[in-house]
Amino acid sequence: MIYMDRRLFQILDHINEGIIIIDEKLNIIYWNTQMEKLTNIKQEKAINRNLYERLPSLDRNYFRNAIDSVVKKDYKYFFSSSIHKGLITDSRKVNVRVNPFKIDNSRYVLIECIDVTSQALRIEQLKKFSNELYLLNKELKEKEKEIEKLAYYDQLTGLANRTLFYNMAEKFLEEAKRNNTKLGLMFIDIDQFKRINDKYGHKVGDQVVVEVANLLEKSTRKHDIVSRYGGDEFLILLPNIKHYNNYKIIASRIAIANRRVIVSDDIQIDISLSIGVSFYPRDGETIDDLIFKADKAMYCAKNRGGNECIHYITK
Amino acid sequence: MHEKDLTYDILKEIFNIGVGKAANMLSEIVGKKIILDIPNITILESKEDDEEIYKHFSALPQGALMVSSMKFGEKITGEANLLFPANKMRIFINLCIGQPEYMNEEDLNFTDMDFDIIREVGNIILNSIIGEIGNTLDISLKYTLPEVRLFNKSKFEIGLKDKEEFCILLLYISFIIDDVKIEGAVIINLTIDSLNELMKMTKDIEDDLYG
Repeated sequence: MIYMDRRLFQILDHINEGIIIIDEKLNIIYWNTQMEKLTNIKQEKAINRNLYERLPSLDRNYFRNAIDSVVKKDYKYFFSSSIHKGLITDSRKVNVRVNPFKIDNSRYVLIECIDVTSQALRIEQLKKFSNELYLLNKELKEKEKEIEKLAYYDQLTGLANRTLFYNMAEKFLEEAKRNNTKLGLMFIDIDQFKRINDKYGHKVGDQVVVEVANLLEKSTRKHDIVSRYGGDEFLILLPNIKHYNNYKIIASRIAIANRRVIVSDDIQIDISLSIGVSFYPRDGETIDDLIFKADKAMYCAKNRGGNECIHYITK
Repeated sequence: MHEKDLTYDILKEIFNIGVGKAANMLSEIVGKKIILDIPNITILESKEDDEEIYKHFSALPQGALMVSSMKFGEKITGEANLLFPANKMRIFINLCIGQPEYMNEEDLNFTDMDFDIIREVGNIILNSIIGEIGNTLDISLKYTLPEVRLFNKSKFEIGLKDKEEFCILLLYISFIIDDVKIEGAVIINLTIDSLNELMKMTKDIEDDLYG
């Protein structure tokens, strides 16, 4: 039996952590009052009893191995309450430290049980709070993206809207001026759109607008900007056109694209487009100039029966 | 095979036995398959030029490091540091406690509870490594429980280089838990005498093997 001044044991009773001392045969030789509070097991019921018999929750393979290494190899162990639930008690979160010590050639093991329930609770609360902030922040960022989308993209077709068109147009125009390159602008209007709307209703009209938007996107180059200017009008920016006539390549791609819109089994609409084209620097110095000239050319096409693409010609 | 290579291979084997035991214990604790492996080891001494030492340190994980440091003493004295990249620790901690993570996985804000988990894991791994050195040399050692800190890698390097004379056993360690692989390192500062003793014992094992 360990010889120790009883007064030392009494001091351990005032320590704010649970203390168990066992001998190398795993018999409990000391159990302080804090241990009584943690486990509801009285000192007299614990002393001289086997550790695992008194605390069956410790009877786990790894814990037995750990105690063995503490006794034989002087290892120290730390078991955290986050990983080990219910190691000492189910109702509290307890960190456990296991240390060896030696008195008069006898080996003992000191098991410290530190109650961290209140800290764990506070950390959980902080984590919850920080998680709420994280989710809120994520939500706000998504909303911000949505607002940006609403501000720059047409809701029906997903194409660039007027605002984005003007931003990009100014950028492309500046670039063309700086690099002495050509910038093309196509003004596109759906032929007989009013008749489609009147005959089939606005819902079908919208469907036609969406199909045209898809068709224009598919027919243009990667860096061209297709935008919905309003109603059934579209604008396309064609940066870095090498020769004025090269717009014809894109115009022919639009011409040969499938333009049959299937509304239902009974209703199929063949759409045609009137397209006018203008160019920087030949037809104007500003975007408004280019839009005006392309619009004129588009009307010219329309007056000639539609379904045509013509470029602006100075009279 | 080069004579030195064989000594290194024996040392590597010794440490792999140790971490194998640690992996078993950790697997049992967290209820998941954990594999620990030491694929490579290096010995660095202060007499080597800075460039050589730098070369080895640059192979260590980059950025912020989570370091568990444990001192050991008695017949041989030194300090063992287990280093893992801090940005991998969030996912690692969550795997250990079986909690799905809602936060940014690269979050570097750790709570005391998180540090406790790393302390426990670091303790088991370092015990096993230093324990194997003790076993090999047939000596008993006294250990402290590890302290866990976050370091900036460059600061950690400077801290090591400031020591006038040092001998470092550098073990590269890979930790696999649930298909997540984390590459880390164990840096053991030993006195030159302790290292020489360890090398001598390893040489004896080698002689026993090959007569």
